[in-house]
Amino acid sequence: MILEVKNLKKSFENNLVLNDVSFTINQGEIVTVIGPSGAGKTTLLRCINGLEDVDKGEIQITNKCLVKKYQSDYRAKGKELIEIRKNIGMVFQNFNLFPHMSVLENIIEAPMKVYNRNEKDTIEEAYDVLYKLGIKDKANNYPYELSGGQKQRVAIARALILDPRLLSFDEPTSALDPELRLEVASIIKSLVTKERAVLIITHDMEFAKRVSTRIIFMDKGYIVKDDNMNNYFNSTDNKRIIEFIR
Amino acid sequence: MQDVYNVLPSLLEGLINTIKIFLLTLSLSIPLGIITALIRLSSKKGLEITVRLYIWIMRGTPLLLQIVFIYFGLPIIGVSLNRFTAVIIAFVINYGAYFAEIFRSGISSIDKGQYEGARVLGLNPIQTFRRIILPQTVKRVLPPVANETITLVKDTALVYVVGIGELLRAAKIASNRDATLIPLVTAALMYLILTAILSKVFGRYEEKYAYYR
Repeated sequence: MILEVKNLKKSFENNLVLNDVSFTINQGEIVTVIGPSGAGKTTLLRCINGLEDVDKGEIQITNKCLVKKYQSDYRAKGKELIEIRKNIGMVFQNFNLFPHMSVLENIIEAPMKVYNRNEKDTIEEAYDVLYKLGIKDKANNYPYELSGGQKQRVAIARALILDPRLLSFDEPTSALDPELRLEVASIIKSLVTKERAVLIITHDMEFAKRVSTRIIFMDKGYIVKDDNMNNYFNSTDNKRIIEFIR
Repeated sequence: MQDVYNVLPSLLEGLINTIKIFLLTLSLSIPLGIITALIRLSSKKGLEITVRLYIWIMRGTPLLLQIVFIYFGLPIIGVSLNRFTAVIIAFVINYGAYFAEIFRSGISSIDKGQYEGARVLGLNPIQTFRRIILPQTVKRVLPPVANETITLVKDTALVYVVGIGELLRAAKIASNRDATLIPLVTAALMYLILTAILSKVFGRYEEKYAYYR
């Protein structure tokens, strides 16, 4: 199991954003979380990436505990947290590349500074990843010189070089031209391996249809439906979902 | 021309003091400004209020008054400083406050996403500040820091109030003695040259950081 989320609860002031959310993700899966805005999708992703604390519940990544809060509180810190972070990559909606660093520098920053890897090998690996993503020629460019799609690939490369078990995406199609959806979908599909899974947050149904193996539908902080891709579009069991996917 | 030649030695002597005060103030007030800005941005409530009070007083009263207070006022409570030390302290704490505000606004203008991007990659807070936030801040604060630095060159003239000789004072004395404006014109040219050099230096730095947007 790559990700296990158990009984997650989170509210901002009096606004309940996540209400007892539980699900798991296994190797080889591409799980998409969809739902209307305000459903709690982004908050869920931020909790999984340790950017947001939870009020209650548990998150395990590759069987290592990121946070566990029931009667007593546990949160991974220091070395443990770094070990967990290594196994979960995050591609932000607006990528958050470092503008003062070249593409190559963006990618080798974490392996070299956080994980103290050897410079020569890291650069070689970075070129491999860039090649795989089709932007090897951009290695020495700066983020401002790239198109949205290219920036996204750099963000993917930056996450990928740490070889994470779980790669997560926040709204991967929202900053891109609609025509690029297909391309992004095929890139994401190519990233899944026997050891890796992908978690995507989106409200783009078309895209979800193209890319997912499984879809989790969220609304008002609850998981309404969690099912394999194929069972979604011929099911008629929930009005809210039908409304949304239409 | 002969007149200029005659006043030049005393003007140059004054100029040396001006440059001394300038360099000392700059090299001490910038670190003070960075530290102050970081405290101001930290969540330590007590410290943050102290720092705000400090900035308010330093920016809210004339530098001339601060120099007078430190040199003539502090002896009343038993702290006597020599003129030069008093002047440097006044300049450093005054400019430190202005730099603090420049750095604070620079640091807080950096997008939150930069911190989050660094965080998910595993960078610790110190690495994040040094490698991600600071370089971007430097680029943004260069123009206001250049401005402040040029103001500092001219503010050094205020030290006359405690009787330290500097460029403008030397020029005034020469001007009164010889009943001519030439020493003042010469001093003006020297200030212009100093500030031109500074503009050039800062221009270089801005070019150095122009490689990205």
